[in-house]
Amino acid sequence: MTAAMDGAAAGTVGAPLRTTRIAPSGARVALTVPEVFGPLRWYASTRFTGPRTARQFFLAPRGQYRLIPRHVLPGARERRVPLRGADAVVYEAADRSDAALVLVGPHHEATTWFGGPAPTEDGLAALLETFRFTDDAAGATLVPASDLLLRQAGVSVIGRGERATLVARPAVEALPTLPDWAGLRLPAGELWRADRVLDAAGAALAGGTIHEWRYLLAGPSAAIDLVLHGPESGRPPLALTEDQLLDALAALGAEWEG
Amino acid sequence: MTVELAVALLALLVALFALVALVAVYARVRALEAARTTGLSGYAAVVGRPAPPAVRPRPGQRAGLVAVLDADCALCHAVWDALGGVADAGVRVVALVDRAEAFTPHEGAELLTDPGVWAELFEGYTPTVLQLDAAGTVVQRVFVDAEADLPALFRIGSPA
Repeated sequence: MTAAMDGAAAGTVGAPLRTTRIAPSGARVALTVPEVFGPLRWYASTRFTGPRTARQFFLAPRGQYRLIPRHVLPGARERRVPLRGADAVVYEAADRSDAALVLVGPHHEATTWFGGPAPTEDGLAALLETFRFTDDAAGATLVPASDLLLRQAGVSVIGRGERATLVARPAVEALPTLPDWAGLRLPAGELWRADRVLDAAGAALAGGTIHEWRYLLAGPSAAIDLVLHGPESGRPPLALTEDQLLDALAALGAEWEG
Repeated sequence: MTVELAVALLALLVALFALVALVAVYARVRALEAARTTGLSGYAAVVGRPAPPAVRPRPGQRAGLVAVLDADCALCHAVWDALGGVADAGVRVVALVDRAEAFTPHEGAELLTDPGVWAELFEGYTPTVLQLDAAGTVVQRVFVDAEADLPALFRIGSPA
């Protein structure tokens, strides 16, 4: 990015915030997010598939699992298995209609849902032996214990705040979902805008504003999907003209290393 | 090509296929074994195992508290100061630290610098507080964050 562009972007949309997150696969993701999109809390997601396993994990800052027995599965039974560097906490609904496993580290947690009764003790032990969970202040890593048994896919790093939600994925995984036509050239890659899935009321509120679209920025190593929260999300609209938004998007970027 | 030569080549092909299959099965069994012995993080859990003798409660004491602390972490110093207030003769209070000179000594709490013990009890995060029973077995481990209620954490038998 040229110095002139940096200056222009900083003038209207705030200085870009640079942060490096660790994706669930262990990849380092260097992110640049303009201040106008607000402070973000970092989440992640990943999926595992294998001969006898198909499982999705959602990673979040530590502490959210405490809401499961209070709000999601009231009265759930709790089973805690201490591990090295983390705890495995299993919640099972009182009527056994659903259950969740949460790997709780010092900084982050990883949750997967069973959609039925919790696994038995042996089943849980086998499941825990299938993965490696390593927590760090910059993000938790969750990988298969053996590449021969499981394939990891659907890795994403998610930033969520009051003003925006962004999802960063490795470019290789995002490639099949990109439009066939050329996007707008920006310093960090190509930019497209796409329809958002909104109900009629939401579409009416967002219509004709920058909130009507989601923005897809694809660079050489990573792609970013960005949604700006506005009236359709019960929040005030972002006070940005289209040109200012373009300045902000020009300052947005992600590099996926590994 | 004679019939004998064709049979010999076929037998060689079958033997080669059997060898490849055997190697594949061996690799898979080794992968399963590796997954079984190392666990979720690659290391054995601390909770449920005996703590190293250097930090176990002394004869006559009913429990132990071990705090794994890092001199460069501000919260670790807050935990160390709070440990000074435990003041229970029946509980051995030990802070396992990387540099003892960075901590101000307190009555009733010991500072211990031992890389071997550190390696056995460190779980990748400081401050961590362990509760030990009278026999020295780790019965509870808590990763302490800024919101933790420290006096409640040091109450023997308190939930994690």
